[in-house]
Amino acid sequence: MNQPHQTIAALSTPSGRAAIALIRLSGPDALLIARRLFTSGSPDPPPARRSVLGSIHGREGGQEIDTGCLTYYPAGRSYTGEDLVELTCHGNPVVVERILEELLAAGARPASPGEFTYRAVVNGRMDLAQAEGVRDFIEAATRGAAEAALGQLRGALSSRVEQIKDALVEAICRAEASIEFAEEPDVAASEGNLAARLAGIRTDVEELLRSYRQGRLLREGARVVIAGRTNAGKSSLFNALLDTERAIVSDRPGTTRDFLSERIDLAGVPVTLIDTAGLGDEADPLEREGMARTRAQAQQADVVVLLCPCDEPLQEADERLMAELQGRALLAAGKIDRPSLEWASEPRVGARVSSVTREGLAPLREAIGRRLGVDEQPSGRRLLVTSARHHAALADCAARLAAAGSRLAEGLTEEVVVVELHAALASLGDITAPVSPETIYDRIFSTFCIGK
Amino acid sequence: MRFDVIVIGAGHAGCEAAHASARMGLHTAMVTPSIGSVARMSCNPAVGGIAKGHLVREIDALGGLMGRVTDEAGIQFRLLNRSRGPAVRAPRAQADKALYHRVMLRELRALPGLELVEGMVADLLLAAGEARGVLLADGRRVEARCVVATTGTFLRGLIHIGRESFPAGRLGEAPSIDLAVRLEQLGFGIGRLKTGTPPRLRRDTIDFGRFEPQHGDADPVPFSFGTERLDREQVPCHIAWTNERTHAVIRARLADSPLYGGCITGVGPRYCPSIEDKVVRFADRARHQIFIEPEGRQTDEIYLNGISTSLPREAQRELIDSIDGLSGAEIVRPGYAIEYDFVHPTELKPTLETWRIDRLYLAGQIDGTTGYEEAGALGIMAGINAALKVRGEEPLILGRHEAYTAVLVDDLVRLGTSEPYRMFTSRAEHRLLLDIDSADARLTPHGWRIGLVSAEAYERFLSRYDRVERALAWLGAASRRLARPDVRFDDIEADAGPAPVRLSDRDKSLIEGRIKYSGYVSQARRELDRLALDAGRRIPEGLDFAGIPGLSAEIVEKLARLRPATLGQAARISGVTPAAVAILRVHTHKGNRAKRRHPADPGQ
Repeated sequence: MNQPHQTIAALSTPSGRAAIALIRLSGPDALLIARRLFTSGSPDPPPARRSVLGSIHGREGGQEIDTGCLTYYPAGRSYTGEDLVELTCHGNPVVVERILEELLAAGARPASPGEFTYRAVVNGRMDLAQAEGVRDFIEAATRGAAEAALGQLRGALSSRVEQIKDALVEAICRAEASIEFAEEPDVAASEGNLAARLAGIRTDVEELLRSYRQGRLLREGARVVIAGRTNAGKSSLFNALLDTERAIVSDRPGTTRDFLSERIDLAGVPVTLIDTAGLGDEADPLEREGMARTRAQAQQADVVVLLCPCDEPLQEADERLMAELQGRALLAAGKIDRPSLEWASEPRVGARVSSVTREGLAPLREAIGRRLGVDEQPSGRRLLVTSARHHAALADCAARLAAAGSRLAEGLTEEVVVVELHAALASLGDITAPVSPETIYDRIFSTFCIGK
Repeated sequence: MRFDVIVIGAGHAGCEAAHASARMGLHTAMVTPSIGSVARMSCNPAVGGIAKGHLVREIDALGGLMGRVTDEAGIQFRLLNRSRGPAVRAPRAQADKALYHRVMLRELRALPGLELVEGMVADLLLAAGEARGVLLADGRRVEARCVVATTGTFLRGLIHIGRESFPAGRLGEAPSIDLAVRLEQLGFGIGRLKTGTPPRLRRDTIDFGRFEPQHGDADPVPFSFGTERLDREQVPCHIAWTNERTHAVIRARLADSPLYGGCITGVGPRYCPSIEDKVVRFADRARHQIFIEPEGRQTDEIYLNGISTSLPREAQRELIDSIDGLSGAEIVRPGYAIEYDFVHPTELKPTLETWRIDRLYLAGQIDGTTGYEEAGALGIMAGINAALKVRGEEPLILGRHEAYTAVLVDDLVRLGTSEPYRMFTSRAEHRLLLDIDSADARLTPHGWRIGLVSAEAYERFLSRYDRVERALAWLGAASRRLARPDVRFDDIEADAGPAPVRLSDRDKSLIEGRIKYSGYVSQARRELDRLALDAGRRIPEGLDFAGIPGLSAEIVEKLARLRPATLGQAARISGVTPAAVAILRVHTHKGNRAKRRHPADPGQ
């Protein structure tokens, strides 16, 4: 994939029929190749970053294929950092295919998946975290997830990580300088409290780490299972929730064939809502089989809404399931349009709902959100760590910082402590971009006047 | 004249190269314009320091000279970083410059296989892409099977003092122009570097009463594993300070400085700035320290460490007069800046042989380094590898976990350098493995195997480790106590009685290092073991990278230019992806298998 001397081309809009389609070309010959099949009355070469209308045809004045627009983004100020050309044509797959064939014959090669963004990273237009933000943004299933990914793509996570990296570079710079230039008065005069410095950095890293719970919810979503005995009104509740929520249009196949499941946007979290078979008569072998599956679903769920009709007493099976699921179970009293028994007013009942009157649906939604740990704050305003890779890197960084702190407390000197600090810095480098050793030296020699 | 190895230059690189080659049994010539300048310390009268002292220990452990000569010529010894752990402690010595030269010359003259040739090298003798010797300016031809060039600052050297500039290799010595031109003609990538030196003052015109003295250690630690003890009277250095008046003088005359006046194009080291640089870049500092160092026990010259300058002579006069205690002192020689050519070290193989011309080796400042110690380390490696080449043996390429010397070579040949390269302990990713006390364990077996370490030194090495192993066995459970940062070996002996073997301070320090770092050392070893399998895999020298499918043109270009010797080196080239290394790994396998299937192999 790493062949920057080649020019790549690909359709950037979904394939299929549409009003327009957009084809991108990136690489040193992007303009040269595009101009072999594009003619317009505008000046040649076309003006930078301005759309030009013209004719798209076979190479070197071949048969006309379509009328379209060309936009030229010169290297340095394009998405990939290279010369980039966008060709817009009508969204007909036959037309698109012909144009792509001509582009390939004219010297481009098909782009691999993600290659435009890959080149943007290679050319320093974005760092690794931002590139992952692009992917997450495109794949975000809810507004909340999109907001979080947009922040990452715009560099919110990157700039926070860079700030922490900078503080760590500063700490390493001071520790290294005290080792390498122990004799320099300038260095000796500035010896600060390394332990306090490291504690501050660790606090920042841990704050980011904590945001991962929320970030992961937004990115990966959650599974909410509706369980309860037969005829508790589970399917009615399932449908009522679907009616009030935006269902997520997804090209992904359903997660289970045995159960009815739909994806909904619940408080910004992409939630897979699952309706299950009723927990009924354990003597019936058929029902036993269904119940075993329900239990399996419940075990994998983030929250299980245990629905019990408010006019029937709680049964032993309900109590058992609640005990098994502990905090993940949300006991809901159903059918509250009917007269309630006493248990339905107990404090452990998390929601009271009627699918008929639709009463209590909004509070139920909120209760599920609370149980999932959805933050009240709109996600767009907060920096969230959403990726498991970033979380692992931050966790490693925090562990290394903790180790450095305990080494210091044991009375070990800088040369041992910095082993951990360099490892912590490398972990942060995994998120955005690695720090070169020269960065440390640059910092040392610009901070301290060194040189006997 | 015919030799096995010719060494051009007799500085710190040249001396180690010539000594190594001759000790390894090769008929060796060391060519220098003046035997009087052998091992001359052109700059400060000091050897060692943090990372640099480590390099000297390594030179010594391999069988080189710098440590022994420093021990003999030293007039003040200090162990730096005593308050930190063993890995970053390092010796530094003030040397008597004249004595250093005499001792080095005596050592070199004692080598039966070494001949000192006075003359200026005008050209390289080449045939079939190989170095075959040198042509001297007086017309003499000196032939050899390998040539090691250690030209220091002499290649197209240009001295600047204020607005005045003139060609010179050092003050008062002619530069080497012809050789520089020749290297350029051969297509070598040549760059320009700059360094500087402070004015020297006459000792008896300085008022030492105004300064704070700095004395050597009461228990001086020698550089060489062969030096038992350093029994001598030590000479103090003194500490003076610049002041606002000094800085005002400098600011007023900046326009006449060749650096700020724009006359100098070469890049100077950031860690060795001129006083002009310090005053400009750190304008908020009220004063800068000056170490007042004697150039010898008897000599009357004093070195002003910290105020390297290329200001005009009369400005240097004003500068000196502004400093308390130096006012009116006689300037024996002015400070100056010198620009010189270096060959981009990416032109070198890890053996320090050039890729371009076979049997030509480059060492010392010509490789883009700064410092006597860096020069010495490169010199000994170039000398060793030239000698091994003549003997038709495998080269000696050390691993980065084995020696700072290897870090130095590897950084240079792999990454190149754009400023004079100086060693720092932080350049080594396995710093805790590279303490001065274990240099012999890491390198003496190599030196012995190739015939550079003497039988006497090897015996000493073996008995030392016998003592250390016995002491470790005796320590037993007490080693857990010794692992604590504040506990010394002496504390254990104070409680448990003396160890059953007599240990030197260096032995104790080695044991402390082993115990205190043991967790990190075993962690590093595990990491290294994992990497070593792959990293050590050799890439066949003639491998055609362009012919390997799946490598991008950019990576092929880099590999072809830098020609890594092992997979580990390839992996560390910037831009070479893990995927590319995986592809290369397959091809080293292929190469290895092909070798085993060679028709001459009796097994087939």
